[in-house]
Parts: sequence; C-alpha cells; structure tokens
Amino acid sequence: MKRGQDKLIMKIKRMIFLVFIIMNLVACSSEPECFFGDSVKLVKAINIGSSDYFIYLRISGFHEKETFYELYENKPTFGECRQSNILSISDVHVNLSQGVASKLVVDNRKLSVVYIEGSVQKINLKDIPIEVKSLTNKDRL
Amino acid sequence: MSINDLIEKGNQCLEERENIPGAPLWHMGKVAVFESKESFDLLQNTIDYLTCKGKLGKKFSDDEKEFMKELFEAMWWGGNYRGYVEAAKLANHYVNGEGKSLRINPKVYNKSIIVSDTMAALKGYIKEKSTNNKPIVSIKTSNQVFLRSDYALSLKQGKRSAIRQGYLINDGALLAEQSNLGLKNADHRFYLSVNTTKGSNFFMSKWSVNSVYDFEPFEKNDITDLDLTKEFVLKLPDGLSNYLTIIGIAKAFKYSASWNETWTR
Repeated sequence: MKRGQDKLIMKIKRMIFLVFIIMNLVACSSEPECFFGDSVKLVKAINIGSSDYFIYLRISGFHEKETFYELYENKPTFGECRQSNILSISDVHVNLSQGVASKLVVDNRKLSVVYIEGSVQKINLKDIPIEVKSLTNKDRL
Repeated sequence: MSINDLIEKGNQCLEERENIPGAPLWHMGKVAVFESKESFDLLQNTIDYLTCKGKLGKKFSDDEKEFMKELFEAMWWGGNYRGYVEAAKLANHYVNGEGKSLRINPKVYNKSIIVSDTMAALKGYIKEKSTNNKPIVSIKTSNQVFLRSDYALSLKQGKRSAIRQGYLINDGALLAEQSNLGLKNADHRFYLSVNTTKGSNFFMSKWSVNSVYDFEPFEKNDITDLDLTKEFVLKLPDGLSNYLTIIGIAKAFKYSASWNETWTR
C-alpha cells in the first residue's frame, strides 16, 4: 500500500517536473547546454623567456573518459561546459594505449607526451613531470 | 583533514541510512530550476554514501537501488533537455535495457568533423584500391594498410588539433572532437567501418560504428560532473555507475549506428 502511494507521489512529482521543463524550453536556445561537464585543473604555470604559460589538464566525456593537456599563452577562465575564454596555443591527447604517460614536453610552444611501455608505476596525470625543451624566436626576444 | 575527519569519512557508510530520497528527478529539477541547495546536498550526500558502500562491496537496499536507477533515468530527462539525445538514450538503456543491443541515430556520428574527415580519407583510399583492382568490400579504420597510407596521415595526432578537430589514434580508433558535446558524451572513441560495393560509375557505402557502453571501476577514480546549474555540479563517480552492474541494476551493452552513402568515382 505504502509502495503504491510512493509511486503515485513520484508520478505527480514527475508531472510537475515536466511542466518545469516545458517552461524552460520556451526560453531555451537550440544550442546544447552543458549537462556532462568536463573537469579542468591547472597543472602548472611555467615561465619561458619572459612570458608566462599555463598548462591545464582536461578530463572529458561521460561513460568513456579521455584526458588532454592544454597550453595557454595567458591565464584562461573556464565558463559553461568548462570552455575556455581564449584558444589554447597547443593541446595533446593522453593516449594510454601507447603506454604510461611519464613526461609532458613543451617544445616550441607545442605539447607532446612521452610514454613508457610495460608495467611501470602510473603517475597522477596532474603531477606529471614537465620538460621545457626549447624556445621560439618570439620567446628569445 | 584531521584524523577524526578521516575516521568519520571512513565510517560514513558503516551505518545504514534510511532517508534515501525517493525521486532524484524531482530533486534534480528543483536544483536546475530553483537552485535548491537542500536538494543538491541531499543528492550529493546520497551519491557519496552509496559510493562508500560500493567501494566496500556492500549490498544496496531496494530504496538505494531505486535511487540509482532513477538517477540514470533522470539523466534521460536532463540529457534530452540539454540536447544530448543519444547520450540520454544510452544512460536510460543502461538501467532499463537488460543488456540488449541498441541502435542510435547516426547523425551523432556523421555530423562530426573527425568522422567526415575520415570518411573522405577512406573514400580516397577505396578509390585507389578500386583503380588497382584490389578488394574494397570491407574496411575498418584499424586496418593497418589504411593506417600506414597517406590518406590516414593528415588525420593523426600532431597534424590537427585533438581538441578542435579530433584525430585518428594510432590503433585506428577515432577520437571525437571536444567541441562536439553530443558525440563525445555518447561515444568518445570508436572505430569506423565501411562496406562498399562498386557500380558502373559510383560506389555505394554502408558506414557503421559498433561500440560498448560501460563504465570504469572505482580503481580508475574517474568522476563525471553533472552540471545541474553553473553553481551546482553533481559529482558522480564512474566506479559507482560500474558497481550498478555488479548489484544487478544495470547491464553493459553494445550499441551501433549505420548510414548509407552513394558517391561518385
């Protein structure tokens, strides 16, 4: 009996919720809004030449997660869906089918990941060692 | 965090809770529409409590099972409402589909940048094979000859932005471009297959994608952010979603999409 009442209450609540949705749809744009949001974390701010650069770790997706590093020339802000207000100057996907990510390389303002194959200790991708290899002409000025 | 806090956190699911909210959809709606902190806290605390139980391998009560099932059903509402139709359908099928295969709308794939670019590359590859009288019937993006060909070269990492355009991973899987929210939340990484027959001056191709819907276990520590509003983001551990298959609430399943194309030589 109680279970039946609960189900009825739930149905009523769902109907009310439907009204909320319809009300919101009236004011809604056709562009998808965020629902499954990315997770974005600052890995490190690095100084190359006289400029500061910012490296972020992005984890995205719902049932299949994928991870990326992004390099920004200025400190970005992340709004809806964790989209940045400025474009990254480089990005790289962490492809774990290539092995364990052991190092992040910044070379001429481009990112790449160094992998190690075999059974090695995995590192937290937010704490990955970073190697800055060379500077661009712009950075040398 | 003090030692007492750690002990308290560790013991947070040793005692059974009775106040499992009956209708997550209702509370999600209250957060989304009225920004109700009370409803948000109730949802998040319940998820944290069930995560703790799952990590300890404990059984869920009927109310707890109902809560998790309805949470996934609520994603159907939320996903549809926010424009993620296929991701919403997949989440609902996870708890209601009994593990049966599901076909989804191919538009989620064939409107994608990486899929369009890969289709163009494969068509060039098929044309060349056809010209050289080599078999063209069935090709998958994991085909090693295709992967080593010039056609695949421009699709690989380093040649394009993984974030803005997606790319062809070295094992032949396509990684969805991150700007395509509908695709990356429905299928982030997948193989594209094509079956082609040759006409007099045209080709007929059937493109298809076959994937599996499941979640990583607790050990991976993946967490999904469910944005109910900008301020209220529900944290749902993927391990808890995976645990639903162990306690019989959900089942992993295969899903697919296909579409036909006639193109000229």
